[in-house]
Amino acid sequence: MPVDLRGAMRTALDVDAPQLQFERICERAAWRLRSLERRRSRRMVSAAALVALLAVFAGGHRSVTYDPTVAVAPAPAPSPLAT
Amino acid sequence: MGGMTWEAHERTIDAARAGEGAALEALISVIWQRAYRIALSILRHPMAAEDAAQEACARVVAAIGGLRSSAAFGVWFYRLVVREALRIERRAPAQEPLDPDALASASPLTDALVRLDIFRALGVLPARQRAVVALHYYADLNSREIAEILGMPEGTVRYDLSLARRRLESLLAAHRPRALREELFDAG
Repeated sequence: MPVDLRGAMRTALDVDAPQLQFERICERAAWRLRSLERRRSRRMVSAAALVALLAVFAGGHRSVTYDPTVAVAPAPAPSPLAT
Repeated sequence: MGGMTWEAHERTIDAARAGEGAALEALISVIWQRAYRIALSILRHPMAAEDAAQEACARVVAAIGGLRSSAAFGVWFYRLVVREALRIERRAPAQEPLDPDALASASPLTDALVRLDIFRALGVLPARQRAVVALHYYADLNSREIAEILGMPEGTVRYDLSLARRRLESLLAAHRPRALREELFDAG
């Protein structure tokens, strides 16, 4: 026998919702926005820290000194192109 | 009523998107009952359903400014409600169906035991199928819209719906009292 599921669902859900608390909803929304903002700030701080680390790392390599013979050696000529 | 035409609320949605506080409050009062009932069908617990509905409405308040158009509101809103309800269900699945005295209804047609019967039948289904059933039979959405809301293929929605329908039909047919059977079942 076919069942009127639409009717059954409407019957089941024909209930009164609790009193709407708009202020409470706004508080939750504000908390959510603050938490998103905090997360975004943390991400930016992490990105800035990574950039700083990379800069320190690159700076450290800039101070590497090579053997003088290597430093004054002429750059090798490019190899001729094969035709 | 289950079905809702969002076109009727287009101006309110647009004004809320533009940041008008009064429009936002009006919009929340329009969607509140719907959010609660959809969440209730998935969670089967009034307090959990209220929590899910509040969180979904809070997300609407927090993010409606970024909504691309008022036409996208319906799917977006249902997605927020269903996702929140499924998240709560995963965290603490309801052990017992709801207490009939915990729900208030002004309708003389329904009594608490009828509702309990239907919610018990719903409780046999997995949470995702409960969501599919609520979105189809209560919110009047088609399988394409439900697929978009739940982020799954349309074929899976149709399969879930067919499984849920067969399951609910057999459960309700077996357990419903006679007077209610006559009310809910087709005579032919």
